[in-house]
Amino acid sequence: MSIDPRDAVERVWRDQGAKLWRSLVAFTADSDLATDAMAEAFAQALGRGHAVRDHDRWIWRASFRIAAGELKARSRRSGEMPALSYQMPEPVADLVRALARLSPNQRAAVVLHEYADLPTRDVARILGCSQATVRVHLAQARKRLRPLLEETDD
Amino acid sequence: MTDIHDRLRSLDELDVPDVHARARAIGPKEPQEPRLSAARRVGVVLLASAVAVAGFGLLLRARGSDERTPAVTTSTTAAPGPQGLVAFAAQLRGSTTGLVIAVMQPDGTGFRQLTGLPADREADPAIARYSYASDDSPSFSPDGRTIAFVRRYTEGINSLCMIDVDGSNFRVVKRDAQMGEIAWSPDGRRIAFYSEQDGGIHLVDADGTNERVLWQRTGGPNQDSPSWSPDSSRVYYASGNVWVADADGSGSRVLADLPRSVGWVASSPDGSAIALSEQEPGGNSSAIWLMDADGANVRRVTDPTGGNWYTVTWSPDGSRLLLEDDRGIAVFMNPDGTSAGTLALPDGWSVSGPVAWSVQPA
Repeated sequence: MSIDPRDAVERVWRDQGAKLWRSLVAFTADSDLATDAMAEAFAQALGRGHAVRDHDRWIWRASFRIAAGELKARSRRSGEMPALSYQMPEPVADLVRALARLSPNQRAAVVLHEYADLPTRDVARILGCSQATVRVHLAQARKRLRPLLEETDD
Repeated sequence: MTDIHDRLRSLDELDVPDVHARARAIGPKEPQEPRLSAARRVGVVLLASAVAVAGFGLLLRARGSDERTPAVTTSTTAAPGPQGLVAFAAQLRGSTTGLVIAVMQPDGTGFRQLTGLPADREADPAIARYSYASDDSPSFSPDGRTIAFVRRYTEGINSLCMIDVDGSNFRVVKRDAQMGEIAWSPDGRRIAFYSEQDGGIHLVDADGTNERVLWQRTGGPNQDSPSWSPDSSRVYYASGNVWVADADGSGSRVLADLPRSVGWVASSPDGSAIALSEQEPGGNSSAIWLMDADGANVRRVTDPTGGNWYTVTWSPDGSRLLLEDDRGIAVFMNPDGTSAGTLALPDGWSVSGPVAWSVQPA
């Protein structure tokens, strides 16, 4: 018996919504964009109904791709990452500023793997690359991020 | 030293708005490519600091290390079994450089680092240009004497390289290869690979020339992990389901329509069976399954709670499987699901990605 898609979407929200939203904030440095991208992905998942086989994975992938597309469009318009869009606790703001200095793929890889605890295979599916490439993104992200975070520790 | 994982936990301090209510307010959207419309960006109600969902964090399923601990490791060395040579991307604990290709005997002896050494690094000027190289996805030539692998320098820049199993004769076969995982054909003539250019499966001749598309991705999950039939006439690959295509690019078809998501396939050496990894419901773990080559008789190999297995390789004689998880452990298993020990690496080293298993080079 197949699960009602509305129940499946509800379950994703209940079980993973907070982690997904916070991951998107870390990726975009913009809580509004995180909210928009995630709401759009949930709405599209509802619209697709039974065509979505695995709602967890579909919603994560769609949310990040929507957010990445918007970041890319902004970058074309203004050439830079947005400033932090709302007041965050200082340790989080430091973290998000440091993440903003990584490339989008490095940033997404480290957030999805190190914070959201997604395995490299799922990160690869979200980013549309191979697992091997995710490992490279992770290695380079860690290398760049560590000194940036140590600066904020001082 | 700053622990990145711990620092990222500070994100848990952020209060989460009720995005689900927002999605319900939008209502079900017509199927379309995920893309945030410009119109929707106008007039957005800023919910970011509005509604903290009480107790929400309690419902999150933490996917910590305990849950992903493999449960089938019963000994630290392999039980006597098929021999040959295994190759894998290896990581040395604490190393800040990329992965290196290493080989060893399945019984835990003869570990040898082949790449990331002065000889192969100095022979590749691209390393100096990018100040970084990471080697992975090894695949043996049919005679077991040579290993093809992918060297990655930075985002989107990688080369197809080869080195002999005695560590000699490193060469770059193809620059700007855009390769993910690769598989050398049993007849030695071609290499199938996941293309980072279009997310499809491509072929290239073993000398790096004549690249062509075997199957182009037109939607759905990325295609991944090509695996050749023993006669080199077909290529199996994972793209949500188990797919197979004739090596001339014709006849692509779903071999088995499985209810879950397949991430890795490996044809047995005699072509009678396919081993695959498949994501469990909820996406929290991956199990290894077997099926007959025609897609029938699908059966689970690993215990449902027994770890998070990502890739699987057959021994050259087909009597044993070697499973790799996401934390650097490789375990031998018999096709009936009984464990046969762990691939015992030297202290400090771990496996990263799929393992290749070849006959002992003549």
